[in-house]
Amino acid sequence: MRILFKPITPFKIPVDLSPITPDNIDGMDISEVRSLQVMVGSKRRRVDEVFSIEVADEGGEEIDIVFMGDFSRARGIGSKMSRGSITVKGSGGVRVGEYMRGGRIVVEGDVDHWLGMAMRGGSIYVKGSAGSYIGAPPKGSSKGMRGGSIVVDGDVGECIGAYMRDGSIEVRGSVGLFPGLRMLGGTIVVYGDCMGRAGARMRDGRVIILGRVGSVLPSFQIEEVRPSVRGVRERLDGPFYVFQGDLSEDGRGRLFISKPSNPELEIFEKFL
Amino acid sequence: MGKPILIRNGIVYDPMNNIEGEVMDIAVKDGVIVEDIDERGAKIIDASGMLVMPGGVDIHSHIAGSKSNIGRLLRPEDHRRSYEPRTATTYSGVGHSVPSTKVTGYRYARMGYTTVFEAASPPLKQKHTWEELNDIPIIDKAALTVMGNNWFIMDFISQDRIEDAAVYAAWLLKATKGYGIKIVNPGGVEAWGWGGNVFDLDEQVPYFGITPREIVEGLCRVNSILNLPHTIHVHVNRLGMPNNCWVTLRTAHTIRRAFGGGRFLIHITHCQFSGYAGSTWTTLRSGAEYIAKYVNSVDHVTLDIGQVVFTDTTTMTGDGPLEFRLFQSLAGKWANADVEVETGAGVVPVRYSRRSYVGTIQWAVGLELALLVRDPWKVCLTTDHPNGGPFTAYPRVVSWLMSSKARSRVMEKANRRALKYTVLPSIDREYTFTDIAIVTRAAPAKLLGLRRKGHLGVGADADIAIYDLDPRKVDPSSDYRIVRRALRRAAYTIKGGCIVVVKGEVVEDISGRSIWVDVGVPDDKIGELLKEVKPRFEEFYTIKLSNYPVPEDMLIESTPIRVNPSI
Amino acid sequence: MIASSIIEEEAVERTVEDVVCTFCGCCCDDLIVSVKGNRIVDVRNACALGLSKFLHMNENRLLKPKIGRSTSAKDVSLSEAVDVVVDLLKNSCYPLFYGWACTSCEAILLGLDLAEALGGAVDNTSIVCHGPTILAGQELGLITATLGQIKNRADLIIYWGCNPVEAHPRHMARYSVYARGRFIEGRRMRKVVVVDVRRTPTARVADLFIEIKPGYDYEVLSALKMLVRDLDLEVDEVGGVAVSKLEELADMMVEARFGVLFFGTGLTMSRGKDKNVEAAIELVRYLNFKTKFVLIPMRGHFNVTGANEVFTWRTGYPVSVDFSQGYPRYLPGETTAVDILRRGECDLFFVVASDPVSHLPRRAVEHLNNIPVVALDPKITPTVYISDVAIPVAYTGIEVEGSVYRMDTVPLRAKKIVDPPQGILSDVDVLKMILERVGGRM
Repeated sequence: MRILFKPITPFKIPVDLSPITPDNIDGMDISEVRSLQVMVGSKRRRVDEVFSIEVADEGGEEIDIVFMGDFSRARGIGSKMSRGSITVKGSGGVRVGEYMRGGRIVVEGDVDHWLGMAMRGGSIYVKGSAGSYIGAPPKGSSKGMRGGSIVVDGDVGECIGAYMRDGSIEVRGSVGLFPGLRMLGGTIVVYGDCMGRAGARMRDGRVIILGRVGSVLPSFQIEEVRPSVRGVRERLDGPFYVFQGDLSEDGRGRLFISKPSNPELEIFEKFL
Repeated sequence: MGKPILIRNGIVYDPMNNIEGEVMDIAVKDGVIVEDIDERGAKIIDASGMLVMPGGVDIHSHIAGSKSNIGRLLRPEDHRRSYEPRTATTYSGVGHSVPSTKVTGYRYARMGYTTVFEAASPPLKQKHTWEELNDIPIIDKAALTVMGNNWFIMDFISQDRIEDAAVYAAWLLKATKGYGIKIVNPGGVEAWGWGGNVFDLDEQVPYFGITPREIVEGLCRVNSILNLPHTIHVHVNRLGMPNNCWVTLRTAHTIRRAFGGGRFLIHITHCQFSGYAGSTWTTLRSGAEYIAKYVNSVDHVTLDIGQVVFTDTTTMTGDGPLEFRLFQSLAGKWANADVEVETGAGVVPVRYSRRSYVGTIQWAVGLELALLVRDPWKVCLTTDHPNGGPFTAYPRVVSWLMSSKARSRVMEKANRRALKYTVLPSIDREYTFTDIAIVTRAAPAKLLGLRRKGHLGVGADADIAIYDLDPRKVDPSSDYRIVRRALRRAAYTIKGGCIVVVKGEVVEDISGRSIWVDVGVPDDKIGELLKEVKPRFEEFYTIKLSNYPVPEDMLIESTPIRVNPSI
Repeated sequence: MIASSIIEEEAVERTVEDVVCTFCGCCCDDLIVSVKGNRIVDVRNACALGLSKFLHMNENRLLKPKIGRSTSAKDVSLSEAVDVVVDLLKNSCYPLFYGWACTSCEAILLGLDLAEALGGAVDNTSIVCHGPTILAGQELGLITATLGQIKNRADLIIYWGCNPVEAHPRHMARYSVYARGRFIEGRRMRKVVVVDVRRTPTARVADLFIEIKPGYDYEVLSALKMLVRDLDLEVDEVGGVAVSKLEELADMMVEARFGVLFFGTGLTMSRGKDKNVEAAIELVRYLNFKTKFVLIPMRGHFNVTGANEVFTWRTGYPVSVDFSQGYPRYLPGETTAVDILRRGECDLFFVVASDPVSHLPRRAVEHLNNIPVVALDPKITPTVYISDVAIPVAYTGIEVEGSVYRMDTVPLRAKKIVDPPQGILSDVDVLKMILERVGGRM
């Protein structure tokens, strides 16, 4: 079943869309979907007061939700979902795919912070850019991403993959500071540049950067130069400088930094 | 205060007045319990088949002040797992182990508790404590004042100026609107100012020429000179470390050795945390038997158990070095907050696991203390909230005390090796409803010297808990789940003559009293001493002496208890 | 009228002692204020900043409530202004309450009541100064002490990314470098280190000055962490500082009996923000395995610490609280005022005791052109200028008393010294009026 949700008027204030997921809708008929409630600012509203709803395709076991329009002020799209799919034809807002366990989310525009917050499984694909804290646990917690995959075509913000234990994050654009902060496992691949401090306080896991890095933290030490490295779904050609760290936290994480993109890191080769 | 109330046909447990499960009526007028009232115009509560007890009194709970707030700040993840939305009568709030102010009051009231003592407040930050206590609704509250590492107190004691120490302590209580003398790791927290600690009663406190023994004895004497309603309230040295039950016993015994009993008493708080034998964590054993044996043989010692509950919680104490040790072994979050001249504080989140060896021993020690000390009047039920677990776990603790079956259920899943080293499996004592009424109400009220609390006699404050539980029909030993459930949500809680909770829901959001002790030391005596103290005070502290006291108008419903010292 | 002004001229001078200064987070409580009639004529013991606040408080004063923006503003009565505010609030779905730096804890608590009653969001100014300190504290826990511990014990004092000589002028004399305490008798028994991106006036009093490249605090702290843990560094220079110099600093830290790291916005607001503070906390954690070490944030505005305390005890969270779901929620980047404004999500902006137009990022301030703005302030600030309704209030700690917190969370009572101008109420009173009208509980 494929259901289209289109805002009747563009959102001016935050709307919590966490109740509209394939898991919640499964087994409902369309009138029940219409009477679901969402929070608009501090007011509770029926879904059909906010959206025009259309069933595009009755068939199919799987539930496919399509959000049409600008959802940059939405919260929690695909929250805790475990199956089905959600497509956002526009931008996606904060906490897209939080606590996701399975299924698939595609966002055609940009998303804000906390994409895939504390994700457990499933996949997220963002065609635009994303904010900070991708896959990171909410503040105060140390249980980060434990599985699933996130792909962002555009640029992303800071602290992506913080406390990540498993799963993968791929960024085709560039990334802000601290990718892989306090990482414990899993893989982060950045095809563009990184502003710096990659792998800060990481204990384990892999951060691969194909673009420019600028600098490596003093608490990392070079180990070797490798011609290529395994990415998420393909082998990436280097050569790569391989650093180990974060030694200030007795970490054994690996930082793979493209040699051709970072000629100034040549000074580390003397240790090899 | 609302209109008069008549509670009809309740099954009343009021140990202070020797009432054990009698069916009787209780009349309430103008906030107190009265002989009789005119039924016309009165609110009638039909309590037939229900358990009626005085409102609960918590002798030791960290609910407000700098330390609690550090705990709240440290734990957003704790708040996300437990929250209460706003209703027509109540404010919203969050927090599993460190609840925000409003819900703290609501949760106590829902359990039928009406009086709670904040366990440790540093005088310098006592304005903060009172601001938070003011924001906690419904319950009556008071705060114990931390003195065991106070430079002025230590200096006076080491110079043998006990009377001056007493005058200073009296001023501290008056200035901070405190209720009693709290001693936290005497001398040890001062040593933590240098990153150290003091591990035993006769170890020297660096630079002060004094030992913990002298501090405890000195403050016990001060307590007696001032005629304070509560005894000294002691968190002993070496708390939370293996093999500390001997320090606990020595601390308790030093009072008897020095003064031979009489009016010289000591309350050992959260005794579970200082009831360990065995020299290391891996060989940890329960020391509860030794402590219980001693407490049974003397009459100058009382204790609260500080029961551990298997849950995720937040430890917080003025014992800075203890929290540092805990951080060393857990390597998670750790907050520290030293307070100049007076004390320190630390906060570390922990999780007590029944599968863990240490966790199981700790769980057993608390229950053993409660079950092996024969006289329930010497025992108060606490979890040292939130150190052993949040206060919301009290009904669970009650079920363990009342039912050996409930204990066995836990032991089935607990650490086997640990159980081999405890006597708990062999204890078959089960608390009666009277025992429970004693350890949760009557004994704490008596120990705190609260004459109008903890009982239902004429003239007592109308703080009453009514539970939907018929003690004649329910056998707590087998139906412990029914007891637990009933105690979690009182059918009615009446506070100061006002019905605040009905069927476990808060129906009226009122503010409670702020209780403190006004020691009647003559003003000229205090003035004279402060004149001497002022230059040193302003050299050591970073605020002026005149800005130190808590003005009385800061307190909501200020309720001083006047005492006459023998000075 | 004439007679009364003559009486004022002849009025006897009175002095108020031990006054708490309302300027910065030092909250010095030893000011002696001289008053003639209802006018402050002199303040002793205060620094230049504090003195100027007391003496010039009536300059640029907002004296009448106003409705309408900038040039189209017109004066109205208090009750008219409150009517308009209440209407605006009742018609909003997601109001944002912001500010709370220069007012009392009592007022802040009412602000939280208001936000809760209306299901809005509420935030304080610490997000633009020491918010990162708080975020880091939630991650690791602060290891701190009251300033008296420093005064009495600290033999090593580090100022990192802060300039007390200019920003907290009495800090060094009262609480740290020059203060005399029980175990430390002043400057000669202490070592002072300054770490900054330029040679500030504070650097002049330092025994060791370390100049780092702007934005490299995190790298330098990581390197120090390695050195303190006796781990080897393979580079010669970190963040523009020779490793040998860092080794010197690491040795000083380890050898100190009681060390303190004071840090300011130079650390919290530079590249990396809260992660910089986390690195500092981790360094101090490791130092505590070897000696005694604490860190203390150099909080800026008067009672911004109090705002964090009040937020925390009432809602569990120190900043950026959202009540839209009926209970407190918090997530930096979602419920933070800057992000709410940046995304243009709130439909009303209510400011108390702060000037966000001057200190919030431009992208955030732009949204204020689209929504109603309400301001409570004693002065005509840029925010008051662009607000749709502005209500004058009395100065906390000068014209009304109230509870405040010093930078090290020591609570103090700020005093009332003079009466506010005719017809001007405290922010507590104004907030109470509004709260009552929007149906909040009192």
